[in-house]
Amino acid sequence: MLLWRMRQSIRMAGMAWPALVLVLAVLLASCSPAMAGETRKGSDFRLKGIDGETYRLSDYTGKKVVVLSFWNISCKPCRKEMPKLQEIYEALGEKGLEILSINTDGPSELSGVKPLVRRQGYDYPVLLDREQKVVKLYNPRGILPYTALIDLEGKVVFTHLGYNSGDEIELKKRILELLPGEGGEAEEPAAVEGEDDRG
Amino acid sequence: MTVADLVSLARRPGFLLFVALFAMLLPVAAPALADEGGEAEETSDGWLEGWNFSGSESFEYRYNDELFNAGEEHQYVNLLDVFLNKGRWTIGLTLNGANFFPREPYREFNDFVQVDRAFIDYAGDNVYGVAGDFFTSFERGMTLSVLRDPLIYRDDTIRGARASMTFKRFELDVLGGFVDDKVTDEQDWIGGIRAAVIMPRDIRLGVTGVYSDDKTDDWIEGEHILGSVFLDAPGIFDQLDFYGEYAVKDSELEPTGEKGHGLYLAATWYRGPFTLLAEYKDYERFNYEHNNPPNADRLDEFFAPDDTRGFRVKPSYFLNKTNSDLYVSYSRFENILSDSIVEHYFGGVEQYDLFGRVYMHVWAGRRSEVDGKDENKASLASTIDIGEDDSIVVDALIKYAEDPFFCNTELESSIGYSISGRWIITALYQYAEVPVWNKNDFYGGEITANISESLQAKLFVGSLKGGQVCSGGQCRYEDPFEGVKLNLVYRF
Repeated sequence: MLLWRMRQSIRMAGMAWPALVLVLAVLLASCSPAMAGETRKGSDFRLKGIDGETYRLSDYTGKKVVVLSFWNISCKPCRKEMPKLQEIYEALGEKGLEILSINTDGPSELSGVKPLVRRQGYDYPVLLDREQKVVKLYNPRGILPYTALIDLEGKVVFTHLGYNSGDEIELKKRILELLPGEGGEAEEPAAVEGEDDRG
Repeated sequence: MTVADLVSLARRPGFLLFVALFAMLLPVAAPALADEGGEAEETSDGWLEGWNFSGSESFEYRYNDELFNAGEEHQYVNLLDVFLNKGRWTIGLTLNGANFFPREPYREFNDFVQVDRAFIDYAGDNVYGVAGDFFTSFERGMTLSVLRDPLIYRDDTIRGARASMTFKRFELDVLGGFVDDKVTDEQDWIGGIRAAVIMPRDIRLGVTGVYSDDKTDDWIEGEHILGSVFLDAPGIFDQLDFYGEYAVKDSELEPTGEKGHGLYLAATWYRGPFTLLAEYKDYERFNYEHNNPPNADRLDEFFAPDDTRGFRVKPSYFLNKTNSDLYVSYSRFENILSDSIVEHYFGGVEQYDLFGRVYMHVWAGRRSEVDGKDENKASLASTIDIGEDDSIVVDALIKYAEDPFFCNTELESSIGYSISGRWIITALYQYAEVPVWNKNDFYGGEITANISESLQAKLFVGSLKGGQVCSGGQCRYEDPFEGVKLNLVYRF
């Protein structure tokens, strides 16, 4: 109960709290790999897809380059981005790229997700993050769309907030840099277990 | 310089802005510093060995003028999210702090910092557990939905614990704690259980049960007990999804009790590029603070889940030849208590790659009630690609509402120019015939700049009437506002 009551007890007048939190943020950021010019590992997660399969990010480590794309139905820029991701997937899906499209709509809106995906013919897996667990890990403010590119070692090497025309060009360039045989320095990936089941 | 001098300095509005800019820009320079300064620090050293560290820092400075406040006001809002992840374990913390200047004695807090969210979770193959703050829902939210939802002004978490397990063909979810409502500050005790059997073809048949004690609630005191049975049958013959749930609610409200029920059915038929979505709902005395049953209509058409019954059908067709997604929707609901009927129909086209450079989404609809209330809406969202990486973005929504005593026209519009990956400049105009805070016209200008991959800055000058705002390639919910806003988001 101590933690629960902390919220009330630390509300104190006369302190420059945002400044203190900012200082804490800088200190924490200074510990992060990004601060040291490195990349960080993508937080692992497990989500169910609209195809009924369960997807875990760590299953792709060492096997595929992964794009995480967060979206919801009412996000207009997201809808513009989806066909562009499909084009990238068609071009690079068999060369070691996986796109995990993560829908963040709540349970009340769930009925609309699968019809949209099936009708418009998106082949990449669409995962349901209806309790907002994963989007909070990668993009805590929840601003959509949000994209994270994860290399074969499972490290987040590129992130992007929002979508504007042309953003897919930079994303594709970054993916190609990571794919073996496409200009990337990575070694040939191993096959993902059970990937045939994932449609 | 004494401590008192430092505190005095820290309380000056400009100082906070300076600290924020410094804090945000320091990480941008960090990679270069690291290159010059020798070897980068490894996170695998020391006590953090093996832990993956990430987070986000969001700072917003707002200068609100007199329109929406008692007087001029400087606000500094800071949100810090930190996550530690190792294998299947994750620890998270969200700190929320704010300062308001000038300091007013009438305000409950001129400064505060609070722990919005703290949790530790474990995600195994067949077991998931979380302790602390977590979002949750059971199935479609009929008996439990504790999520952040700006559409209905909810920002709740459960503070407690949850365990989910899968044993072969059996699923079990158990949770307990209290709902922490960030908006109303209420804290209601809650407990829930969900159990399901997984049958062949991924069909799930299950039950949910929820108990909530709303004794901390000021306006609905009492206990609520809800139970439901659901059937989730996706991919029947690879052409049909079906979902059905029936729930009952028993509330021990003072001075009398109340019993209610809810029924929701949804079926989707797929045939190539054609889909047909049909939904039915029947909610009677089903209103309750911690559920959010499907409204079975457009997401922006929120109906209270109480005393309403009706259906919606939505056929859609994707024309591959022209990259056009066509849809129409018709819904009809009746209010069980007042016998009033609401009809809502709309249709639209989402057009991709028109002439190889235009995206367009156009829709229009009408919602009418038998007592003479009508609302007409039309929307256009378009992007015109100019070159390979620059484009013009146009967004407009017009609403006209009328009833025997009231008419109102509202317009929300924006036009922007974006250069991919660098910056977006947007002009916004909103109009409300019925004044919002004594104002009809709202003008604004916004610049979004991607300073680095991890740092985005956004400067807004002008006024907003509130609601969903799409600009700069993003959509978000905004409160009514007039003044200057500087927002910095840094992800590390």
